[in-house]
Amino acid sequence: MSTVDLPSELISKIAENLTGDYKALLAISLLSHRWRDASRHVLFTSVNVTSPYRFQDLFTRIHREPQISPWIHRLQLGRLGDLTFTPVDHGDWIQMTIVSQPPIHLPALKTLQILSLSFHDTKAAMDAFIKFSSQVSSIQSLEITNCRLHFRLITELVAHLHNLEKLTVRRCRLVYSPCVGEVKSHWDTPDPRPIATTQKPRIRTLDVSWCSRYIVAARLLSDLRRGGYLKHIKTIILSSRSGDETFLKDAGCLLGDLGDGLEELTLQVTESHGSTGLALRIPQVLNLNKNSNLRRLSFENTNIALIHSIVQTLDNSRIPNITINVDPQFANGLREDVSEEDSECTRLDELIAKSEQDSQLTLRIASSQYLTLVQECFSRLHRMGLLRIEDGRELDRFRGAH
Amino acid sequence: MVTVVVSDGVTFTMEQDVAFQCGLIADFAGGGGDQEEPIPIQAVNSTVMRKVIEYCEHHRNDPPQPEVPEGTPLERKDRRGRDAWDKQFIQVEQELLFEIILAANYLNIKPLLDLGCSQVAEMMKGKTPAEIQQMFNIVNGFTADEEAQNGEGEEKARNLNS
Repeated sequence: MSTVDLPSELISKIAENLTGDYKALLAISLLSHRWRDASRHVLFTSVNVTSPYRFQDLFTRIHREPQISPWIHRLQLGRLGDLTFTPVDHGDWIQMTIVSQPPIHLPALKTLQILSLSFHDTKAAMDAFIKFSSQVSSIQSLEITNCRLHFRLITELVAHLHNLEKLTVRRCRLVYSPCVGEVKSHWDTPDPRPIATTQKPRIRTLDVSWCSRYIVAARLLSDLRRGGYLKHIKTIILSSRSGDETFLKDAGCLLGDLGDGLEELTLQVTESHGSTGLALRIPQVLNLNKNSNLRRLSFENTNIALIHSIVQTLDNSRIPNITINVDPQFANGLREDVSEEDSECTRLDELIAKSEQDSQLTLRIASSQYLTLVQECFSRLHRMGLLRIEDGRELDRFRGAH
Repeated sequence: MVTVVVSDGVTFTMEQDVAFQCGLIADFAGGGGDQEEPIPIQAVNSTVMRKVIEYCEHHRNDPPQPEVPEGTPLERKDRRGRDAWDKQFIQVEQELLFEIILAANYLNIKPLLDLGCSQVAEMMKGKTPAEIQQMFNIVNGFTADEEAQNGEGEEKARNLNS
């Protein structure tokens, strides 16, 4: 027996196991007619486009071979590259292609990623993306990473994607005014323009993290909230690095709107400045001590003071899972937040004391500095059976010490 | 207990929770009590059936897998992870591997089918078309023109995803 004897649906199933491995997919598509026909759809499941020529080629191919379009589940525009706040490529080629080419329809597209692109002409980008949104209305996940763009480009794009369930805006340089000195336009008005859409997206997961200019990120949250796109949200990931109070205030208002519906909340607030208001507001607005549905509360690279402030006000028995995750790159920032190591340990000690037996405090720790800082407290947690270590470079060392 | 008789006449008797991991047997038995008559499994021989039963016995206490809608990209599917036992189990001769895949497909045992297909995919990774053709005895069948087109298509596909 050989693979020759396998029916086409099983060959197709083997090919699906190679999703994302283009070299292997290309190899098997060149094996024989049967393998080519059975595996070709997998080759187009995920398409990465990184230049004007490739994007135009995609349009041309789909016009020539319409059977390709339902195969595409994920489309990536741009290349991630280094995560800086300086996108390397201009996004003009995207808008030019969308405007100049006859429309394509991607009925199965679920994920659109826009990576490391800079959109300088906001109006042109908006026209192009609104046109494109009707071609990709099946999108469930929109991920915009490391881009420079006007925040309202996002809110108006979201308004046209009525199947959208997950919105990620990560490490973006969000712009408020087109440029300094330019005449004010509708882009700068505080309220979003009314959008004539019959069906609003029901976003369930929102991630607005590590964007520069938090005051603009706050406007983005505010627009999404007022647009009514976040009424069904279950999971939120919010971050603040500069400690911008506006962002944290808007985040607090957003959480206040959501109330009991939220199931997962992840906070990434590295610096303590401005976080106290959020810390005090979160338990209040989420009503955590009473009817909250919150199943998971995660702190990622968050300053200990904020964690402590929040947890101090909680009845932890209501939250089955608390996660504290610390990456090495933020260890120094965490230490800067700590005036005296001993006092920090004391605060964590209180945190631990507040924990109850039915809570699970999960620690993923990867910083030796941080480990040293809190080792004593977490070893107590460990003894109490409340600590579950999932991951981390320092895991062995931690285990060795205890 | 459930009894089956396979293509070479061998009879196997299994407990219900083992047998009912095979969708075909569960459908045949109608989800009821003990089956008196042996269920004929003509498309599977005794060697392969032993392997299938070994797999089902090992996974008899696994929780049921959630239904995944058709068309869901593979990376989003909640697939059963390949544990060490599975990896060891599926390290078999090539001919037996394909017979297990066909049996899993016929008997409707999705996790075993996934395991077999992923094993074949693993064996293909990092190899050239010629190496795969030789390994699995696949006859190319492309004409010279098609070969040329394949080269062009390969280049285009590579560009598209570059």
